[in-house]
Amino acid sequence: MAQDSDAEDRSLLVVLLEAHQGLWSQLNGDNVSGEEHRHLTIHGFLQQVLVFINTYLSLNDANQVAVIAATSTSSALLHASSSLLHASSSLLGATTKQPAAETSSNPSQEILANLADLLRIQKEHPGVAAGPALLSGGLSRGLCLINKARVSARAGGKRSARPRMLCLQGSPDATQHYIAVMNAIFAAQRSEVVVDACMLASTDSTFLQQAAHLTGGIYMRPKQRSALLQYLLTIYCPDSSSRSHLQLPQPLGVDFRASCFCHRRAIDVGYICSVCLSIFCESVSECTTCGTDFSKGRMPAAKRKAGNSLDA
Amino acid sequence: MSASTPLLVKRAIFTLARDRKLPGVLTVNGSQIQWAAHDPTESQPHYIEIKAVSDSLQRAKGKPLLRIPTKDRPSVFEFESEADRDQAVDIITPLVKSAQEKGKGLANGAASGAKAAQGPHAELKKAVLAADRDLQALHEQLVTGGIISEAEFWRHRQHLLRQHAQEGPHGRQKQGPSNAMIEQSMDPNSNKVTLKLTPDVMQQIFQEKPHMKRAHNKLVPHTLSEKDFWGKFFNYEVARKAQGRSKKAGAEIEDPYQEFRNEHLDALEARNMLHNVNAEVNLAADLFDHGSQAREQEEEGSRQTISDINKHAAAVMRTAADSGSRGAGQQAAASAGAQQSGMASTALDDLRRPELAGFSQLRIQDPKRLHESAAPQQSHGAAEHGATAPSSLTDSDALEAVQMLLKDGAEQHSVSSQAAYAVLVELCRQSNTAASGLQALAHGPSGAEQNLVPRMQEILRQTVLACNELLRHFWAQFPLSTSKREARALDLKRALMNQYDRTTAMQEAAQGLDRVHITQLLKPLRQALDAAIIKHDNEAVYKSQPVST
Repeated sequence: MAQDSDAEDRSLLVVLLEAHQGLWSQLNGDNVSGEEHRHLTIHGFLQQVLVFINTYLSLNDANQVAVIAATSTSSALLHASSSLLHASSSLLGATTKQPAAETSSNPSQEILANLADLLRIQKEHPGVAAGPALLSGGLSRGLCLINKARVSARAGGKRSARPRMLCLQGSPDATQHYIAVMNAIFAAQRSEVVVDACMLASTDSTFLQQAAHLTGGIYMRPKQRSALLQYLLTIYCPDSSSRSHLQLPQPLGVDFRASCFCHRRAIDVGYICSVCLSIFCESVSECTTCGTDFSKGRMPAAKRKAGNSLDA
Repeated sequence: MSASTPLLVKRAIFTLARDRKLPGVLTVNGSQIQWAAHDPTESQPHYIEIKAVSDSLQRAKGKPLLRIPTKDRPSVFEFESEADRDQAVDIITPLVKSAQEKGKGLANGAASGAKAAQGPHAELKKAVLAADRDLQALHEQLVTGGIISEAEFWRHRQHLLRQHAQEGPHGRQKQGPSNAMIEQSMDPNSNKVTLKLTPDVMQQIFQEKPHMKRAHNKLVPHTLSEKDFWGKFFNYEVARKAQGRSKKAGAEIEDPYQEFRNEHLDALEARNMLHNVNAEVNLAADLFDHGSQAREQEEEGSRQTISDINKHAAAVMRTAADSGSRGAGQQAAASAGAQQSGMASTALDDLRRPELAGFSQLRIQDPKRLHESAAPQQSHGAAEHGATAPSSLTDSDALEAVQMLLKDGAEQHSVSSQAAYAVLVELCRQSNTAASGLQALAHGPSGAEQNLVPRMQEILRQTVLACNELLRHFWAQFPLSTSKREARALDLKRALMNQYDRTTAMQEAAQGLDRVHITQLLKPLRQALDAAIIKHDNEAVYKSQPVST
């Protein structure tokens, strides 16, 4: 009976970890004049994230976790709970190749080993890692994983775990990825996946704010980065259904600015294509997305009517 | 009709420069025309005194433009329609005419206020305003703006005037003790030396000559009276100086308190003091006094004088350093007792920044590091500071950290309990828990305030100050027992409603996060304004009801 209720309450957490120098640099903080609480070493950061993941897993035996690392070129699955992997393998058939560390019973070891491999590859190809981290890729991969788990649970006649994603980001928003990120966020919203976000930089992330706002998650930019674990445990440990009973920090506000499709600039006021809703920062003669021609101008209503009556 | 009653309120675009036009609201009252931008960060409000309008108003044909000629430069407003413009002209023209007829101005609140400013306390008021920028801004906005009269403004600020009058022009700076060396005036005719001995001078001597303090403690009042003690000392000092001046090598004059001289004790005391004083200066002076050997051609007299100056300088520096460190709360470590109180009394205000309540002193622990961090590109010492310096970490650093974790495993304490507690307090504050014990411990500025630009903060602050002042005057009118009070309350209510509209406009003009922050900051103010307006409305309803018998 107890096991059944555990299974009822189980949840699935996908941690999206930015494995990019943008995050490593931000951990150090931007201020050195005695503000020790703002500094967090990479060592300390990884340790605190691992403690959080282990705590989350120990809350409920049936809890599942997956860790995805997002780099500038790809996203990699660092760890996934064995039940998740079994579910997806049964769905895809036995021939699908599983990650090498699947057999490891210690999630921390597995995460660290896979992260080390990933970083080693990045170190060997430094030129490749110049671009911003692929938040959209990580989000999409996480959503795919969640969807797989859902489908397999449905196939097995079980109730699927409540899915949730937690983004740990440090780099500033890459406006060139605006469309991809927003699409991923809308997909998460549609599939009712809560996206939580923890921004580890000194400035807010518009993307993550909007992601949390649209999916009912929590966005937070910790002021005292050295105690990141405390934020993670207090805010991000409870699942989405328990949160309604808790008094969690209220967001001060969300920056709803969109990035224009032409220059990827964040804008307050802009031009919108009336056909495909593309956003532009300046008046254009033709929509670059759907090709609608704006140069002809709007036909006055009276003329339109007259044209219609003539056609008739 | 009061001067503050708005006769006309219209939307109008004001031409600041040829290519700079701003939308705003034009308000006309009995004494002046006022224009305020929708977005207060864009421009300051523009005031035109009716009496300053030099000529008749000019309209443009076919355009809703109005040119108001003044002595300085004409102001051009663009209304939404010609009808609006004509209405404004119809209201302003008679006001201008009556003002021109009266010549020197209107007999209204603002004008009488201007007269009061030239009254007997005008200089004092000006000085008080000049000393307090907030008060000056408030005066400009409310009194010059014609909302409240000069007399009303100063009625509750008499204590400021009194205080300023008592303190005088340099009232804010306490006069410190003289830091000159002890003077003696000599009458050349009678050959008499006059000295003035005050407690301050005694204190100074004790600091410069510690052996005198020891002698004083031991001898006065049992062996010697106070007067005899100082008489002996000054006799010796005068004789010594006279000998130095005449450059005669006479018999050595003996210090009456020679037995109390003890270099070891002096050095010990100096060392105790050293942590408060600029050590370099002190050590250089000490080196001269004790360490260096007198050269042959160097006279003993001049050497003595230099030594005296050194000691005096050390005493002055010490008082300054002590008074500075007292503010930082380090004084507890220093030796206590009468010496302390003596130093406190001789602390020199010139060498110390004024104490500001509610502000903590800026303390830079390592200025060198601060400067280096300001120019990270140039600093080649960054590597020395290790993890604390803002360096860009790469993937190889991350790889090292991961490998270290793989090898050594996790540490026992990943987060200090102090930091975790601070996080809990912060989160409690953000989560709107009303009566949380943790929240009670939380202090400091709220998040909303920190996230606004300083200019916006300043504007909000001024708005809040002005509203509070108006609210004070508004509530002072209650109970509305006389018709005069009623009329005044009505005027003030209108002014409050204007402020209410202004805050609404400010909220609406802001975008994104700023808007949320501004709304949060203005919330208490708007509640106070609501309360005042509701009170007045209720009062009006109550008055209008017939008294039931």
